[in-house]
Amino acid sequence: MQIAIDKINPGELILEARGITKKFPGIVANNNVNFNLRAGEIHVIVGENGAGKTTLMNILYGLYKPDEGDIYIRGKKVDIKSPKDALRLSIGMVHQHNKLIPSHTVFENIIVGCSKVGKIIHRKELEEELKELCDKYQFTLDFEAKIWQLSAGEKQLVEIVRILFRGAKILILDEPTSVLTPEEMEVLMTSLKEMTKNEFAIIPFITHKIPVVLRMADRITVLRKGEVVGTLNIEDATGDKLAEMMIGRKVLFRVQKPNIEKGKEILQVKGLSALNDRNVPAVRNVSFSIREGEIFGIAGVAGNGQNELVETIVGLRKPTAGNIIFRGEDITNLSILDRRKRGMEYIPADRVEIGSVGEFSLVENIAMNLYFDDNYKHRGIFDLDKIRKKTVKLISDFNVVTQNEDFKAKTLSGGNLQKLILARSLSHDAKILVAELPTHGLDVGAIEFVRNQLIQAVKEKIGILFISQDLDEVLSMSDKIAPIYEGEFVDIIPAEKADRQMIGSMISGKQGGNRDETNT
Amino acid sequence: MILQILDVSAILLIAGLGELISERSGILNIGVEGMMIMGSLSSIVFTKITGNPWIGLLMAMIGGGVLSILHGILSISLNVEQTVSGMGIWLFGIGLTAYVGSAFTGTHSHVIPAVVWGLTPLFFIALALVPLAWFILFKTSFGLNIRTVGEDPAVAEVLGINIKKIRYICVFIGGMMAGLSGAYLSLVYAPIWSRRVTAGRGWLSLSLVTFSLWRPFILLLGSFMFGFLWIFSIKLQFLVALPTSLLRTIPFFSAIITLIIISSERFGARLREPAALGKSYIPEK
Amino acid sequence: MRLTLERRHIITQRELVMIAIISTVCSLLAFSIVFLEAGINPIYAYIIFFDHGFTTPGLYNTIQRTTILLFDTLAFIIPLTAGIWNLGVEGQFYMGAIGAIGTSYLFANMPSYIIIPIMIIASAVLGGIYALIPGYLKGKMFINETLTTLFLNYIVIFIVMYLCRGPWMGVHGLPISKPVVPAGRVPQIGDTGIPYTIFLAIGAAIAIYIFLKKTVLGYKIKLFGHNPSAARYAGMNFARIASMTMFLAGMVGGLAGFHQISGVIGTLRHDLSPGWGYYAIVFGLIANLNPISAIIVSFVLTGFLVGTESLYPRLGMRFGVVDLFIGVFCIVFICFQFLRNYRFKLDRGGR
Repeated sequence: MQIAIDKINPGELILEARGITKKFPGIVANNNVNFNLRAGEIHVIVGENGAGKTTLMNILYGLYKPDEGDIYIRGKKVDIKSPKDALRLSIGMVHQHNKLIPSHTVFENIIVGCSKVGKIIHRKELEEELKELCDKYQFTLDFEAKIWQLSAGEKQLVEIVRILFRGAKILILDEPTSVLTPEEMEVLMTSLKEMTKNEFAIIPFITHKIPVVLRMADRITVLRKGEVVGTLNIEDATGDKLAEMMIGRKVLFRVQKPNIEKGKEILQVKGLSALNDRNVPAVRNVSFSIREGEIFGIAGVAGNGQNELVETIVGLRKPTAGNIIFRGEDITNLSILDRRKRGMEYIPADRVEIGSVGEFSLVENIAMNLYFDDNYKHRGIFDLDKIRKKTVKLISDFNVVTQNEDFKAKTLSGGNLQKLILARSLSHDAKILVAELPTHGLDVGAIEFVRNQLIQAVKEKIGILFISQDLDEVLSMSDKIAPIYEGEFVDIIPAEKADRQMIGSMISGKQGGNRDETNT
Repeated sequence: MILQILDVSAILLIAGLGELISERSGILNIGVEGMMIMGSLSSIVFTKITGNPWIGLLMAMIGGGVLSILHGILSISLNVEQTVSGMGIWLFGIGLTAYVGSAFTGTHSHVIPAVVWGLTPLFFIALALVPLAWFILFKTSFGLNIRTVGEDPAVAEVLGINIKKIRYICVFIGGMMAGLSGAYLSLVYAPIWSRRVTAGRGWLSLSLVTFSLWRPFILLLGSFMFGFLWIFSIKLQFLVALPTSLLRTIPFFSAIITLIIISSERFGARLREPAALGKSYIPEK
Repeated sequence: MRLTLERRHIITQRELVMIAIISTVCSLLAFSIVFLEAGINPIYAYIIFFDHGFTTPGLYNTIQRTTILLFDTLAFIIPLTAGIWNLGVEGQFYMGAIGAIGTSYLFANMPSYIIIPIMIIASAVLGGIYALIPGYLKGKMFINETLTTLFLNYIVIFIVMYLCRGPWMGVHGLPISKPVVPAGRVPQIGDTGIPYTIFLAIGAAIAIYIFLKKTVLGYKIKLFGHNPSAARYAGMNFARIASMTMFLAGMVGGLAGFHQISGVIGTLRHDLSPGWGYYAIVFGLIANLNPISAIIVSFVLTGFLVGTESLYPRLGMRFGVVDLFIGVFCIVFICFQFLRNYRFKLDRGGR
């Protein structure tokens, strides 16, 4: 089923999807989607979460089979049954969550599984071939480096080179900019534009970043609720028009945050530094403080040290330097349990693997925060009655939808599980709440609930350290914002003075702040 | 005595290499001791029946291989926990050989003849297997696929690698090598059958794999170290006035010590082990 | 109509018990192949088998033996509840035996009511320490406990050999120790030959069950067994839990050794156990890590073992038949394990 994808004329219709429909139980993911792609263009597909992008992508890459509709490559109808078929048709995909092996080298990750390579790996020849490929598009890669040593942008580059090596000419990129700093984004866009000059056709699938879309696209197709709302040429597209097409109306969801009087400082972090699991510095000399009733937001692209910073503050990671002072006490060397007993609660980003135990009942999950509390045990034996009562109360107060408290946690939906975890943390006289990506992956109703709970908490003078990758969320929730880049706080900015563009460029390392060493 | 050291080293090496390859693909095989003892008995039985030690050797390898395929079916296709499956196979191996072997207790002839310096061809084969394993793992596509499967099967799946096929092959190689090492034990080193003939060497080769940080050449080194310690602990009584029994604990103490050392931060065995080792892989659908 | 395998996510207690029973029955069926190969009528063999294992006088032997196997099974279950594989029960048993007989020599002139409690404590403590070592290594450095516990098994047997040929040698030339002091003998129930330690074992099982169910420590142990990351998040310390569970396990395993020395054989020898510590692994898995189930499972399966032992002299079967029985039982058991993850589905065809 080889279709020659050389000698392509620029502008030629290289891929066409006609009438693609795909249904899943209870939902029509793609409804009569028509889409075409010309050689030499970057045709961006935009749409919100749930608009049907992933489904369409997977169909093009052979991971799903459409219920109706056909795909044509250079005018010829094709049947893409698997990624292998897709590659044979010169379609390659770079996934959002990288599919790389951290302990292997760049070279190994590029060539693995490629039939071109042959039984024995001829390193020299292959590396030369790769070098040629990279030079052609001005990519710089160290082939001997291990993946874990690379930045997010470099890792993405490896994946791109990987599919180029396999001869892909049609590139499907799933949220290519989500883990990149704006600087890396520039580099990527330049590379992509360079590639389109050489007959490549590129389909980036993007959620929100409209400014980026406007800069990179030749054409834009907007998906909404599984249907194509329209396809625009870049000349005809504006930010507002796209937003309207994506959402159906002009909407800006801003959190109504009441003005709360802040109390005294309860958390002071001074000069904190820490290493990550690979013993590479991940947190560099971070200092800040949080007052009662204040939401301190950390904004940043994933992988810039937020997770390590949180773990160090909470007690799951040892710092290499610095102090943490909580309510006047130096807790730098205290265990996570001791910190929790003193009122530092933590809501982890991974609610399933870390925040809860799927096999345990809701009662047993709530006990995770009560087992050290003498009110709920007597001489080492649990007061099951009391814990159960507490669980029932929490479930009702926090609106956790479940049949009863004995059901296993794994029966809860994501939103309800998060509510449970939130309930558990807020039930225990918390003084400070470290909330790591608390609305991540939740449906709109749950997101609203969680945000309201956090605001409720600050009304009760709890301080919140809020980590999010959603820039709008951080901007609307926080009192102070600290953009983090490569383990350092670029600056600490009061919310009134912060705007999207400023923070956006800071988290990509493009702009320095006005920080000095002594800061409040 | 040097001959004995070389032989015991080769026994540990062969079983260790097999397990190394299996673990590189992510499958932990605790039943090595059981497969080794099965190989040992099979080699004796079939050598006796056919009069040809090479057939005995072949049957030992097949025996080990068959058991490992069972382990494979359970752990790879049916997602049974690998430790459980391995233990079951170990106990089965001990049980079956204890029963069948009771008719074969005692010394045997028909061993594999030595060729040079008192060493049999098996010894040289064992040595040759080391660079071969290294080459396959690090210089071939197949080896890269094995290592990818052992690190992250999900990624391997996306790349179109057939995870099951690779794991089955590696587990089978591991089983065959375990059987082979048992045959070496009984057809070269000590042509005696008794219930406890392997005496824990299967377990030692397991710890050797960890000690080698899953690298064939380090495994070679480790095997010789332990081969030496093994013989040393038996012969030492002639040099030192300590009781034999206590001396014989040396290899096992050393194994524990090596595990402690290799797990320390300096060597970081935990970081270097194949990331998917011992975990069941359930493909997303 | 097609029979397919479907992945399952939930499994009920009832289903687990069913799987245990089915696999036991199947292993008995499978074992009949061995009878056939030896030219014996399986039904006849099984009659003798059950008769010897479950009717007097064999029943007394079964109950006596259950003490050991129950202790051993508990010693395996406790750490596995925390996710730790204690394959060193055999070694902890021997350590307990050493402790028991050693202290009996030390306090040779004391009356029973002093010696016996001391022996019990010594067995438990020695067994506990012996298990603590691999437990701590696992907790602190994540060193694979399957290997360390196993190596310790081999080591202790050599230590026993040394003691029996050396300082504690009984009859010259035989690798058997001096017998335990008569005052160190646990009395038996009537003529049955069952030492009172059986109650100790059952009591331990019940105590452990309650411990795991009701106490905070038991909760922590279970949490680690299910989700170590969540346990750490909750502020629990793995090194401490690993050490504690293993120490507890070692204590229980040591008590098995005490029973064997004080209640049964009375001398230390390197072949004191035919491998009970390893059988305990299968018993524990079949009992689904439930200490109360362990009582029943230990009793029934020990009865099988005792029954199997009779086959060697009564039917002239080859030596090693007991090992083979365990082997067949194990292999059938692990084959049925897949039912934990999959269920059979009858596809009624048609669209």
